[in-house]
Amino acid sequence: MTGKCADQVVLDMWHVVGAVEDMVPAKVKLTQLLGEPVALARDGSGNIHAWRPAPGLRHGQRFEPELASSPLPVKLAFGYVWTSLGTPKPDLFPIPEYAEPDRRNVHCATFQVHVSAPRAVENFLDMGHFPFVHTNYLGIEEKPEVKDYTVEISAERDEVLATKCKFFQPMAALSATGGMEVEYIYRVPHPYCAILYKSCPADETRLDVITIFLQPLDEEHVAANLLMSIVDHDSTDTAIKAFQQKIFGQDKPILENQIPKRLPLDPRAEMPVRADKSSISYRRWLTGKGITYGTIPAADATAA
Amino acid sequence: MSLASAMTDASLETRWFPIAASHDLPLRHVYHAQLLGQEFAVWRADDGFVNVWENRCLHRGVRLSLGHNLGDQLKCQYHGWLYSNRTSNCTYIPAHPENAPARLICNQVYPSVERHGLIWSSVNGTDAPQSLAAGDVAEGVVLRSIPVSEPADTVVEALSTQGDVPLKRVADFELAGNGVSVFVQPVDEGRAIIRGTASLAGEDKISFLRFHNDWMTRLRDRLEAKAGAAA
Repeated sequence: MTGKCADQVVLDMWHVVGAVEDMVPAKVKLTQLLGEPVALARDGSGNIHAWRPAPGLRHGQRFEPELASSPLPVKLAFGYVWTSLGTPKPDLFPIPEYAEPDRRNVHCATFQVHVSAPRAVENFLDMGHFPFVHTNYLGIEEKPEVKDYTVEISAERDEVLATKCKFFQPMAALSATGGMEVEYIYRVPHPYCAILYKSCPADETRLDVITIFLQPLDEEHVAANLLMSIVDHDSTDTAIKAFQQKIFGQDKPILENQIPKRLPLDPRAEMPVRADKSSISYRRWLTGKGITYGTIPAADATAA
Repeated sequence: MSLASAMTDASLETRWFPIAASHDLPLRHVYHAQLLGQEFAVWRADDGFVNVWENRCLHRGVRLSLGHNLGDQLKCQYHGWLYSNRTSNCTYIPAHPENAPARLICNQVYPSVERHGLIWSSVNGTDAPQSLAAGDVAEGVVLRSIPVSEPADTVVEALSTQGDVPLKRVADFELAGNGVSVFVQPVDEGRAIIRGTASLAGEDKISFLRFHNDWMTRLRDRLEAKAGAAA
């Protein structure tokens, strides 16, 4: 259940392994990716290394270049370190907004959660829980309706895309001054990463961007990295982080109480409604890619 | 037959066990119980009926024991779906307030009987037997339940040989002696809960309950320490 990953398609992807700003200079960071140990370090010149650690390597030990004799590829993107256990394509998915000069790009938190990465992605795509889990922030119980929206799987970009999503939110962001009908766009460009765009309370011509990048520690444990890329010239970084930490702190106990922890891909395993269109598409997209890591594929769904 | 082999016996699934005490179900509470590996959400409706349901919302798998007991319905904490007392039919899906849910949305329910101050259920049982216990059940007070991280058969064996009260085995998971009835609830393959009832014979109730709580707790500690040392 918590073994290594056998999906070549997953092994060949880039996976997040932490925020650049959280890397302690010259110290070894030991972590886990897809059930396998991975070591990371930032050297004196600021270069980041990832490698398969030899037995006995200790977390926090001083970094020496000779420790990294079995290197893994490294990519820095969106303030995070990404690596791969296989042969990754050169590029990660794009988030063009991240580079806009007036955006606040804030790494809000890394939460460890006892759940599979696909369950966490699905929760991120879900509007129906706002009134019940994020009561009086992202929804109120008097307005629970999930209006019809559009979902497509973009063949060109190979991602799930949900558009025209609308939901009434009493406090959509730190910069909100009252309730508003908020418009959302969701992208799933990676089996374990999702991005949302939502109406920006500070500038109605722009969209705030919030992402969840999941590091699959194993099939049923993740480290969830939360990034905000928003237009907000007033709030402090601390306040932006605190808001997002409060929201995800409400999601965490729900995620840790989902049974089974891996995402069932058999359409009959759970009971979706129209509001779950994006979840249905996401499960279908995972099935099409043959992703078994963190999921229960349809054929053995009854084994759950 | 050893209880370890009995645990894998399908006949065990039709047997009735205590899974909670009546006092575990205060007004509008939802209690998380487990029997033979199966998790239950247990809640008493305002009409007194005790619901024992699979602890899992059909929609997205969240434990219903996180939910709210509204008195006549249980509300899932994740998306506010409402499930009816007794039938467990889903009556309301807030994401689509205008549409009535399809009638087929109905949770897995388990039978329940409240007797001797305990809530009894069965993983695969139908009608409750006339007598849930093999022997006469001591009536009066319900002892504090003692969870033990050891298999049920180990716990039964220890209770019959190492207790401060002489207990005799009446049936596989049932012991009695000195006005005390003890039932061992197999939670899963490695865990059990000791439940008991007793009749008071003039003793002070609080010190009586403390006495039984103390010796059962010490028994539990010895068992778990021994298992810890062996591991």
